[in-house]
Amino acid sequence: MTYDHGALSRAADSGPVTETLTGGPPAGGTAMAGLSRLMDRLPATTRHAVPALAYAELRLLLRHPLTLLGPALMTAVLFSHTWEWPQDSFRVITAQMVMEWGVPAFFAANLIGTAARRAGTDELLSTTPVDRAHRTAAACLAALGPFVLAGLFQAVLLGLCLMFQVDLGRTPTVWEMAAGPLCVLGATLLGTATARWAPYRGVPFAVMFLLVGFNYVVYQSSERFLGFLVEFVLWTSPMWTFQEAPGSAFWHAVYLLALGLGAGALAMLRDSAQRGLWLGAGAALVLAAVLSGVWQLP
Amino acid sequence: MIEAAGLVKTYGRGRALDGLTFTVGKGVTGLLGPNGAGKTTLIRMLATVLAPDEGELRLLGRDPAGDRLEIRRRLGYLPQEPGYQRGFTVFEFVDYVAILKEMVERRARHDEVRRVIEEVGLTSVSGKRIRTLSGGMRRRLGIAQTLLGDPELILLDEPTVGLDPEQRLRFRELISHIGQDRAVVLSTHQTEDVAALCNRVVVLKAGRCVFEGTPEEIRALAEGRVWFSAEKSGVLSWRTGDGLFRNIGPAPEGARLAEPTVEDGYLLLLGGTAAEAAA
Repeated sequence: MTYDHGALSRAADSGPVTETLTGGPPAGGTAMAGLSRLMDRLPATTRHAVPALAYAELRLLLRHPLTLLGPALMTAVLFSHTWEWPQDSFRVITAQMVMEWGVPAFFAANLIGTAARRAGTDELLSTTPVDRAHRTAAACLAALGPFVLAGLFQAVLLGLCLMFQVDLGRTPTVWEMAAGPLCVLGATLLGTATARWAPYRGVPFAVMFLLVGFNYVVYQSSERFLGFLVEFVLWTSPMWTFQEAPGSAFWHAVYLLALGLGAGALAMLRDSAQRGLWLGAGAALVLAAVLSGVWQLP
Repeated sequence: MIEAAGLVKTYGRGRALDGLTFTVGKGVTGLLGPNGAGKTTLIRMLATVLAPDEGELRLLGRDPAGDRLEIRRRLGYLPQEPGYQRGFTVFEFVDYVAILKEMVERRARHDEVRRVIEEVGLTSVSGKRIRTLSGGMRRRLGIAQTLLGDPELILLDEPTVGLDPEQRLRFRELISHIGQDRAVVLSTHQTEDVAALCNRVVVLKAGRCVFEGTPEEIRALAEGRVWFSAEKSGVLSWRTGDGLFRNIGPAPEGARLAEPTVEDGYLLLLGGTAAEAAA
């Protein structure tokens, strides 16, 4: 029998357990409780390696040229933008990031996730105590880096708009501003999930094609909030009238978060010994995405 | 350190390992064998990457089926073709592997990383990207990561492939040093490396162990069976630089005998004749 990666991680995870569950019922399915429960099941030293590994993955991710391309493209857009029309300016600071930053973030995470396989390091790394399941966990944690960076970018951008009294029509809500960073988070996690499940050439392009295609289709429909690139204000007739897009920005943010974390659960499902846990988490997140997806619509 | 009995590994219809039995203790052990003999399969099995289909294997006194994690904590492994991720510097790569070896305390880990990098003589290039290193330096980098955490068992699969003579010399120096107080298993088909480095040799042929002993014992198999002649003769022969044929096999009466090498013994083993003679 071959020790496939999944089997390896399952066997490794079921190795000597130095700490047991702390007792008490599972904490109602919250993500943090699930993560805590999972972490408690791991051998102490292996468990403690995950944050250090996440930091290493974060450094790899943040200095990847494609990760840097996101803020570079956004900056280029900001400098080339005229800031003349409020609808247009509103779109730039709320939705622009989805494509300019989200797409490169997806490919960056995917390339980092498949780097060991492409370089032929997988065999070497598969014989270390901290196995691929933990590397995936670390990669998922590292996805918080681009998310925080994108959030900071948005905050600074909004601050500059307010400082220079840019006409945005109205001040965007935190949920509208969160859409971009949440898409960056989801894209990074989905890039990792794609790397874990189908680490083959061309697959990330196919996945991105599907995502963009889906977004394009729903953008043409009345349920445009189901997409990722959503404009919260509309160009309407008569021209230049500032009009709110129908739909809930709050539930759209929840929808994006659920989809993003769902991608993370999908990544974890690949190699984890606690498949049931991640299947359950994935199902809960799909349910959350469906409900918030419905509730966000007008 | 390693006890293997009746190991079998099958790929489709072919048997990579066919009832392999051997033991390995402290020191440097050479795994010799032609291509396809099962060396890499065996090394991967010892590295807990593969499990045997049949047979018993104990690594560091433990069963790899149940105690894989514990074994991995005491193991260093260099695969035959270790790739290195683009963009890593020497230090970063070793540091990354150190984290995977559960070294979580940053300062202690960095000290350990610096130690192993120094041990393989790469300190001067520790900040350089791996892609800028020579083949020999990359091999040393591969060895550096095996030394992390001072493992009791180090497995090296064909570590001298592609090295120039000077690099091989440096490699031998390094392995002989690290093999002083631990078990090092070195898979190779370079008999010179075995003769120069190993205190024990296991010869594989078609997935079976056909010899287990010291380099001197394998060399002794060819004692009185290597000779020079003007004509081609023996089981194996080749023309040397001075125009004479160096022959290996039963020596004819009056033949000018030559001092055998480990390679001669190894070639005889592969031919099957020496094993019969030894028996």
